[in-house]
Amino acid sequence: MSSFSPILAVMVLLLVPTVQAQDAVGLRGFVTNAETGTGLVDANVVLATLDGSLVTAASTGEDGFYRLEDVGRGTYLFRVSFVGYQTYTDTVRLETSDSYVTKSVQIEPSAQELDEITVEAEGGSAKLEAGKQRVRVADIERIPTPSPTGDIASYLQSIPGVVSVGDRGGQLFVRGGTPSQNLVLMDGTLVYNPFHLIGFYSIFSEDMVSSADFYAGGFGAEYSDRISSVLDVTMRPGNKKKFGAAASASPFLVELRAEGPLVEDSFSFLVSARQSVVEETAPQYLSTDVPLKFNDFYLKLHDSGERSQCGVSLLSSYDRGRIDPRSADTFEAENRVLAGRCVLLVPENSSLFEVTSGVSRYENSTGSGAIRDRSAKIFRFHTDLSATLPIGNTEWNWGLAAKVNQYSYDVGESFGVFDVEEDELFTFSGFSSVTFSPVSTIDLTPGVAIVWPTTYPMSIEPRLRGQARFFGENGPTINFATGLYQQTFEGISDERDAGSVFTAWVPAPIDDKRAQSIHALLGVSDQVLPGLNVSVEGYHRWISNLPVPKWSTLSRFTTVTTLAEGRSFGVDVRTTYERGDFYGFVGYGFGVVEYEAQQGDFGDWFGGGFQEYNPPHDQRHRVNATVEYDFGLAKANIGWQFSSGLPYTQVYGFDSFIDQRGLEQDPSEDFGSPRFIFDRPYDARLPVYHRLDVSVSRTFTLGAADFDLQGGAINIYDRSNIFYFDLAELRRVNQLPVVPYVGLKVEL
Amino acid sequence: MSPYPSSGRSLAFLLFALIMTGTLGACDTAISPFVESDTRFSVFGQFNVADTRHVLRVEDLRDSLSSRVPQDPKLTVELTNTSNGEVFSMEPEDLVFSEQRVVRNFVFDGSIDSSTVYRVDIQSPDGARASAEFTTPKGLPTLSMDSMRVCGDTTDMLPGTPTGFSVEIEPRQGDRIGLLTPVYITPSVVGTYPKLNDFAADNDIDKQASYFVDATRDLQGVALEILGDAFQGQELPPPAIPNDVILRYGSVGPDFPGAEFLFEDFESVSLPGNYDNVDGGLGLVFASVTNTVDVPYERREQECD
Repeated sequence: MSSFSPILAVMVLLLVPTVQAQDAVGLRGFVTNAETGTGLVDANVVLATLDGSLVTAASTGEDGFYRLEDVGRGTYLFRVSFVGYQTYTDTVRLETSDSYVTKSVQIEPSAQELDEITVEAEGGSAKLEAGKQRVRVADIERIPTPSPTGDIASYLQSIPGVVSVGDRGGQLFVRGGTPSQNLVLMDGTLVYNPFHLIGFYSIFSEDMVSSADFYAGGFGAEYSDRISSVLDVTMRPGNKKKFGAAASASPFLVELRAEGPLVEDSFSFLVSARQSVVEETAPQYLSTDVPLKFNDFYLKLHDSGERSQCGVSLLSSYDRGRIDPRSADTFEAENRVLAGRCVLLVPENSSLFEVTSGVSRYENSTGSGAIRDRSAKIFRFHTDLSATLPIGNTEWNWGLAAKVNQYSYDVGESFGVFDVEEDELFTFSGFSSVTFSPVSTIDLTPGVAIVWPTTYPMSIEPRLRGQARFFGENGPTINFATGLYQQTFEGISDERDAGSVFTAWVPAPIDDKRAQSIHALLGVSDQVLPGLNVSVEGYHRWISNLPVPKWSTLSRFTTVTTLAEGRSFGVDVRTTYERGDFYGFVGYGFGVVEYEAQQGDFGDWFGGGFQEYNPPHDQRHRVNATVEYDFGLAKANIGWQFSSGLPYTQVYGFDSFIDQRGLEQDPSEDFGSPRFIFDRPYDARLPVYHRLDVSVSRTFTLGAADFDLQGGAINIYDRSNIFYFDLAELRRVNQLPVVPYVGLKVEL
Repeated sequence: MSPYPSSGRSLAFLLFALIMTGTLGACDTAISPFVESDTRFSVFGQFNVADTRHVLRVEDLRDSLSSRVPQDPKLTVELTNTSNGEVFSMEPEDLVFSEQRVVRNFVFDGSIDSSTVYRVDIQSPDGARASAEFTTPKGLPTLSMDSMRVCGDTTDMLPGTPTGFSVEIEPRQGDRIGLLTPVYITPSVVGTYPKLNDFAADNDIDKQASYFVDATRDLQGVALEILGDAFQGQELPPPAIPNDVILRYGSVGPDFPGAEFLFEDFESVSLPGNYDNVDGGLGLVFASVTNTVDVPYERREQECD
């Protein structure tokens, strides 16, 4: 029971009444887009005296929430400004007997061109703060994608530190972590696999996203139960002023979207449906088979009031396909997510409360035709309560959560130690963190996450994030983060088989040892010239209790898992230059991933039971470049990716093993057991990968409709990039050849 | 000056872009799935002194796994008696399991001598070679056993009296026990008891092995059980009243791996390098001598003594 004391302490502290100076008032509220009702993040809110002298200022956070503390009673000028919006100015009287005054405002978008100041405020992809990057819709738009609407999946593959093993499968590895170690949240609710089989797309299309925070590591105490990265996506609400609809089509994808107010200015809907069509179009226009298909459906209902923002999202997605077009094995996956989230201001309480609750379900299977060789499901229900409480210049965040996971799998012989099972696991967790400035140049956010999966020991995971500005507000910022991370459920897949993305989610499969990682990050970011932003960040992770396949020579691609220890380290360098109509980004990532695992007798073939190896996502060098130029008549985007080769395992060859114990098998009668004669695991490297993508788009208006016409090509110089080599068939599987496309989007 | 390139510069840029496009797209992206190695062939087989037909499985390790149709028909495989230098050619013979599952064996029809060192040599037209040397055993092991009895009314469904038989086997000096498998035969079933390697943990295959087979009868019929701790938890043959019980047994030459080979799990036994004796390749080639005898078997209508 004593282990609950930190959580109880948090609850007790919650009851402590907020203290404001007797003559002080707090001002708070939401800043939203007047046209759509969307909360605006990073808007500037200023309170000044009537003669214009600054009193206090703040910028809005998630959902456009702002808070100004300890303001003396009186009348003030209240001003809200944001890039691309008209500045809002008003007079406020803080004369009430209340401790807090709520003032939510809507600001109008502006047609004014962006000036240098607004450019400096953005920072683009180079704005990296201890692993954290805020992904904006403008960033997503810049990446050429074979459809008129961009996607967060394409964007993530364009930044250093993120490794994708191919243009199919939707598997992203962040700074040495594996796909199942990434925490992906949609409006606060977990999505087990948000990425579609066609690697350009996820469930997060550009048109549906409000903003996203991407942590490549070092995330704070508010996130738990994953050990690699966090993608925290806030979906946008529907337009609260007017109805709208959009339709788009390209050889890859058709999309429909509708939105509008159900109650004007307060309650809206947004609905979207997408269906891939490349499976049907590819044989004609690419002269190749692309047997991949997906669809997704999304609905959001959103209500906003003076003191609250509440939304309910429903997501359904389906993927089916063959990673290797010539393989008989078909992969299928389904996501179902229902997410509810409310941000609340309570009268006479300075806290901003957030309540999220949701259901996540993921099911995947693989097999030939109707016969499913392997299948796995996982279901999760969660309820979270968190709050942000200002105490003077300190901000305290705390939260409590309860969740239950139900899982089942039938993996035949594929994973050796577990065949068929279903069970459930209850988990209770809490966190607490404090943001404060011990000196004026340093901000610190220490915190702790406490996670108790009921059949495992409780884990206490300390975290620390911070930044220092020793050279003033306009000088370089030093960012740092460290923390301990644990994960109960691991996605087990056969890393040897790049042609399969089947994943079975299981809680700590071996000896109840939960996967664990310690992160350390240190970086610096600066605007070295007007429009030119640079960030450099180094990282090191220590990983333990990681279930990885235990190798065998048998050709059935079965594995027994074993626990690996490992580490990853590297450095990301990002530079953006943004001026006028030009945006350019160059990123370089260097990384090393090393595992050491007990491989038993298999290791004896190489001289020892323990094997050190670099897993298949150990990408040493990666260069990304993105350029956007707005010619006025049209906008051009170019994306180039270069990466060094990924590891793969060579073989001495294959044979049919004859078991001659007891003179049992006889070559004159028996076929024997097909066998791989492997070299050391992942001791060779695939060729380098590079790809150039271009797109040109033009928007124009005809009548009441806005048109966005886009054309371009993926892999424009038709590079034969290898995806993987199928050892059993002795043939290579390539990524997509040159893919020209034209897409059109119509918006009403 | 115009901020835009002149038409000449545009053309030059376009030409440069086209050259770069062609160059980058045509870069070599070849990879090899194979390690550079002299290990080229997989060779498995046993030469039984008691037989006049000997079969060797020879595979090129670089033939595809999923389509195991031999790619090279011109391998030369020879068997050499090293004591007198006599060389025998082994002839190819395809064993077809299905269209995509064809293996090539090499066959020698003729007798081989006991207690003799032989060598097989494999050579491909491109010069790749492999060889394996083995010694034939001296002769059959010495065998002694009791008779086996099933007593009582065998048509009665009531439990009967247990009975059984014991076997002792002793190899000749320098040989090893390679085979000891009782086989029971009923009108509808031919089955085997667990083999020597399944239970002989306490036996020394270089010297002696023994075990005891027991027969009990229950409501399902008569079950033949093998007694001993090593059998705990093993799945036994289905209950049946055998018409005949025979015993297969034999010796192997000293090249045959030691007792640990018999007790390894399959994953370990199949690991390359663990139990191989082929130079320039993988696999296990050895010699044996085997025999089959009837187990004295008695069915009594009355209870056993």
